[in-house]
Amino acid sequence: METTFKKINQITNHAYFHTGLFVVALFVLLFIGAIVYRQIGSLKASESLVSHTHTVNIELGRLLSHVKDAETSQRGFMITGDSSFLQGYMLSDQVINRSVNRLRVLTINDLEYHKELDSIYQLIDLRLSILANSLKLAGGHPVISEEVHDEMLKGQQVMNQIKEQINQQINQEIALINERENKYRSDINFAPVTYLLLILFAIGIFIYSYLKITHDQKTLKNSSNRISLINERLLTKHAELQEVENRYHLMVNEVQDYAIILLNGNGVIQNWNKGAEQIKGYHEEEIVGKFFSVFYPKADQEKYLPQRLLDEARKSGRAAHEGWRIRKNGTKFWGSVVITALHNHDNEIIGFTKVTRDLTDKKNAEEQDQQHRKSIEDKNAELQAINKELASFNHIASHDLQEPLRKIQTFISKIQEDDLERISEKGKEYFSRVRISANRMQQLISDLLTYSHVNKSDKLFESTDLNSILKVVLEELNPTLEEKKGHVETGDLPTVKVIPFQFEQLFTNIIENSLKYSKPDIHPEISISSSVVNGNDIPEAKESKYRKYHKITISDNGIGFDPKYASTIFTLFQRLHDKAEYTGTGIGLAICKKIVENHNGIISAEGHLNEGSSFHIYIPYQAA
Amino acid sequence: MLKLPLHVLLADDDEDDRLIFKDALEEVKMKTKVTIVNDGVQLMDYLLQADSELPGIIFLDLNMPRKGGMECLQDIRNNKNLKNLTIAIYSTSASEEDIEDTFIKGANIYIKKPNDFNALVRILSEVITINWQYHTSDLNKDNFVLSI
Repeated sequence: METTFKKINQITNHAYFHTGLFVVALFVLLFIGAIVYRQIGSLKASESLVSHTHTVNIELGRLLSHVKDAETSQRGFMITGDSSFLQGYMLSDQVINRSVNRLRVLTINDLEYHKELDSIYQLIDLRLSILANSLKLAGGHPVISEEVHDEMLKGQQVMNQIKEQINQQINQEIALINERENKYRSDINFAPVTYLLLILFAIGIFIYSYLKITHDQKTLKNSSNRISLINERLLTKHAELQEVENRYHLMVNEVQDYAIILLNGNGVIQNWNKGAEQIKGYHEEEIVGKFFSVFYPKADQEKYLPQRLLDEARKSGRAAHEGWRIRKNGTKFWGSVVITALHNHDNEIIGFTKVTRDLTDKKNAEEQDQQHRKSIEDKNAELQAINKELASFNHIASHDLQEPLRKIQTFISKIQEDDLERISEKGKEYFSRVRISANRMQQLISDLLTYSHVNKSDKLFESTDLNSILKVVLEELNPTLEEKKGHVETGDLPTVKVIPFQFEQLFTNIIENSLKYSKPDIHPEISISSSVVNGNDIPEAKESKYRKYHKITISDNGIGFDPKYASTIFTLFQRLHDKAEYTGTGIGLAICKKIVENHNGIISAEGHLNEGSSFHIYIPYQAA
Repeated sequence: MLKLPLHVLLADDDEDDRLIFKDALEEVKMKTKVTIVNDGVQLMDYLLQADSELPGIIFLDLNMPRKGGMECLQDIRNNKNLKNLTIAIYSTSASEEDIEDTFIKGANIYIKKPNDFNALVRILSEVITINWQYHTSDLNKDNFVLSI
């Protein structure tokens, strides 16, 4: 149903179709109308012809009756001789004339009819003259002579002739009437069909028009409904949008932490929000319409910074900048600015949004922070410089100290060689003390040099088998070991990443230490072992940075030390014994501590007087 | 067989060291002739004089005013007339850096000034009698530093 309607709709919707249909319908209606008009006209004509024929017939009947009246009245007079009979006869002449005249008027257009009328009239005239003649012959006597009789017969014959002719005329008229009536009937018969057709056609058009109009109206109504629905929705949407826009405007206006302003394509300020007022100090009415460079310091204005920022935003859509800006009252604030280009649908720039944040506090904090950091950095650098200076002082001092010392030693050795005999005994003793002091000083300087050299920064860590390091160290110490008849028991040591020569130094120093502080009457026994321990189990680790450590322990059976010195033992120049008793500079163990710390390790000493001592070296665990 | 005395040249700015060196050289049982200059500038002036007698060996201190030993070593090795001279570095320093540098720049041997007179005499005797041709062809970092 719907689809057929649609199809019809499609076809009938065509403008030409409707116009064509309308024109055709108009012509059909006009055509039928013309036919009907003509039929009615013809009906009217045939009806008037019929009535005319009737009138003629009636007139003809009258004429005959007038003639008959004349004859009757003559006959009555003749029979009776009574002249009163003649009254009718006297009048007949006038009456017949009038009748004939009327017939003439009636048939004025029918020439043939006139001829026939003329012949009837002549006959009537003849009859009347015969009547008049017979009346004259009778002479007012009621006798019927032979002559009269003949005349009457003659009259009779003429009368018959009249009758016949009138009848004939009447028959003719009747035929004419019949003919006309037939025509009229046929006209009448045909007319309803025409009307019916006309009515049917009109009804058809009406129905079609009705359907079409109803349908169109329905369609129109639907469309109208739909349009009104859409319209309603649009209105709602519009209202919503307006609401959103209003809220948006309100929001922008109420934002206080950001200056949000709109610039036109040339950078002229077009609106102003609370944040802008708060940050920049201008009221809306005194700033809108001005070029936005008023916020920039003179120096920036002269460098065309505002224009350059606009150009950047124009080119890349966005420009961000941080720098000092000027408030209305001339004070400065540190602004973080983002300028964003606004485009219309044709991608033309129609303006810019400029969002500014006052970051003065942040900037100040940052500057303070920076100053802080800078001062820390400065201090650091200063410290580093001091450290470096100290190291180089240490190095150079000990280096340069060596030179005069070396010369003193050289000259002493020369005197000893050449002139010792010539010196007094006391002088010899003093001379020997000078030599010992010089040697001791040399040892000190040399150890200090070593200590100052123990630095990890420029040294390479290598994966090293500590067993092989220990082997080298023991070989070097072999003469002392043999001299003291000592013995070293070695366990299996790990392979770790270390600075090899420093570990050599470390082992050397500790083993030398054990040999030096051995008990005079007992052969030194030194044992070296290794294990893996948890960082948490190391008592000396204040905050162990590593979970697991390699622990290397070097124990001896020497003189040991008072446990209260367990921590001070590693301090530079710290000595527990008299110089005369045990020679030493007090640097050796400080070097050990420095080396272990270079390797992120921990060193500790454990001991009791006369019960020997143990040194524990902890190095961060590395899986082999 | 008469041997020409070996011409030894010492460049050292320290007066004491020059004295000790001279005394020690006298004790070496070998005929030598000594020329002594006080710094690098004097050394180069002497070597570049047309009539100078070129030394058989130069003992070169590193730390000298005006022109240091390292610079002299470089200049000598870059001079086609002098580049074959035997040069013994004679310094108080025994730093790895100095040893490495002088070795690379083409010194023949490195002597750390000893703190014993007799040791110096032994060193000088040893150095003076080295067959330099043989030593140079066999030179490596291990035998570059003289140890007595």
